Amino acid sequence: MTLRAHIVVVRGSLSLDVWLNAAAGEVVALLGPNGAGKTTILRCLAGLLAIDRGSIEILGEVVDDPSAGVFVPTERRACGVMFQQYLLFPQMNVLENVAFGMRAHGVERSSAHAQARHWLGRVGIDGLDRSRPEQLSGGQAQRVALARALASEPRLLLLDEPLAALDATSKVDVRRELRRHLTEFKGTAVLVTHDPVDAYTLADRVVIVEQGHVVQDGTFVDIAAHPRSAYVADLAGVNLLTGSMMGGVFAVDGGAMLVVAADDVDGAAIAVIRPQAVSLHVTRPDGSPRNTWRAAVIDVDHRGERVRVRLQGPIQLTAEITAAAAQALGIKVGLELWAAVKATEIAVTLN
Amino acid sequence: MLSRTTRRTERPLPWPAFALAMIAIAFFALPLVGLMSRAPWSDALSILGRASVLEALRLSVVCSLLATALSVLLGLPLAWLLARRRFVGRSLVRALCTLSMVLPPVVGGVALLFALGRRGLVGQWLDRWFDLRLPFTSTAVVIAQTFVAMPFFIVTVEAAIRQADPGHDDAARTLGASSWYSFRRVTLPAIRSALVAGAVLSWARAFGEFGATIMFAGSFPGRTQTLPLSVYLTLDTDQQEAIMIALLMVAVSFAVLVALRDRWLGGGEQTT
Repeated sequence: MTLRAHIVVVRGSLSLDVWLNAAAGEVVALLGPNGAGKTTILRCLAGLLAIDRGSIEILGEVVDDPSAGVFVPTERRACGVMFQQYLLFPQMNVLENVAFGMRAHGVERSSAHAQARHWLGRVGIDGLDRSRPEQLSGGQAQRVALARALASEPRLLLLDEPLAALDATSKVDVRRELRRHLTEFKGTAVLVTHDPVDAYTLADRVVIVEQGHVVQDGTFVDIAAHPRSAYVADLAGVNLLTGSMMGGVFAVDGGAMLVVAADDVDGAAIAVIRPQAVSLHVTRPDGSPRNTWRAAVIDVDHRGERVRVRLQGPIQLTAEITAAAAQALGIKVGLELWAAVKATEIAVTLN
Repeated sequence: MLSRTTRRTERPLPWPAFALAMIAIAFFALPLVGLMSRAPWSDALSILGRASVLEALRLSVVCSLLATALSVLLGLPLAWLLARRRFVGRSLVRALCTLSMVLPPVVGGVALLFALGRRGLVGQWLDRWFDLRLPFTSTAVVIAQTFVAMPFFIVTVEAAIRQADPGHDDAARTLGASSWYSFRRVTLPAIRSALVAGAVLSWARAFGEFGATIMFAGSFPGRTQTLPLSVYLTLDTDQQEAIMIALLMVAVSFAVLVALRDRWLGGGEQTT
């Protein structure tokens, strides 16, 4: 085990008590709703927050154990962190940002800069050495932050909502890039996200955290098959479509086509659509949703204020609408209607 | 049409506000004009060239720069402590360390005398053990100036450190930076303009310091008589010299403020 942690922390209204293990080379996603304590776990692992009880062990070294009086400070833990807001140093240019960790470890300037250039090349950032962080696009800043975290060769890589600050269009590319880097990364990585798509596409294993506790732990498919909480059940209801991308169009296996917001990825891919993003109409809708098709209702599942509707047609998926909308549409098994999804609501990842 | 509407964005002030602003400007300009109208311009150079004036100028410049250096050296760690560490009595400490900003300087000078004077709380031991007597020395001038000037540096820099994102410090530490390295490479560059502004403000305060100096250091020409003290003392004996020294101080202070304002004190044209 690269990482073995039992974290107990009480902060304000949050009472955190989680066990977390990770094997060498494994990518673990902490998935949960906002305020569940995911970021707090990450801060504890990085040493930015001391735990109240429990212990944290990285590569066999105990780095935090209140009962034994052990606390290794952040700067000696060798945990690379990519923060949600990236936190690039605004007074330094891109190259100096990436070289910072090596310089802090006493690496000579010229050699640190040479290595920084190498890392920037690996994340696909060229010719921006002298740019200031404020001049970068969101996607570029994300890559620089990743290069900076990787350049200090961390034992443990921690990523806090690595894609949350990006818009829907750049997310697709950056997610694919990030997945490649996580695969190449030899050490263990822990990433925090509230987006099931990130967890599904980036992580080997998913740990569901709700209200400071681990609710479920396993592969995404396992968890989706046996949801143990309403939150997980919602996640599990995510529509996964296999197919392939070509020229901005996602061809679903079976023949149907979906227009998506990513236009420069080609090849076998997976499209993820949240049920809430699927809208249902009696007549064919005009306007922005570019993907519309005829569908038949084959199952209706009432869940309080929300209704889940399983659809059959050229594309098989589940829609989730309000109870009021379901009543207005007269939803019942066998009803034929129009389904629509906006291009920007479809998250595509190359497989 | 378009250019006319965009030019309109800068609307004129209502006239009462404009009039009051003009009065404020006149209020500051008038004393200067008064001083200049009485200045013996024909003898200006010979008066300013007098040994007594040059001596006071040298003393003022050297002491105020030393006081500024001391304010930065001691004030920067204190500002960092006040801004980034939570401890019991922090607001009391902050009040204590900025008290001399609002205290009458004469009171400060008397207090320094009772603390560091020959029979003072600490002064008597300095005298007995080290044969060190501070009052009425150039050192006393620097101490008095530092006492009243340092709060300006602390207040300015503490505010800047508070505004700087502590997340950057966290990021630096995850990359292996010691707290000193992070302070030097991340925090200091982020507060650079506040450092300069704070140093200039405290220098200006030290340069013009009068009350605490005269109480704690006295007025010995060449040793403790700085420019403000000699203005006050020569006003009785040689009014023309007093006016010229006053104008010299005005010129030096004005030049420093103008030179640094645009770049560091947040003035100049707003770029939005």
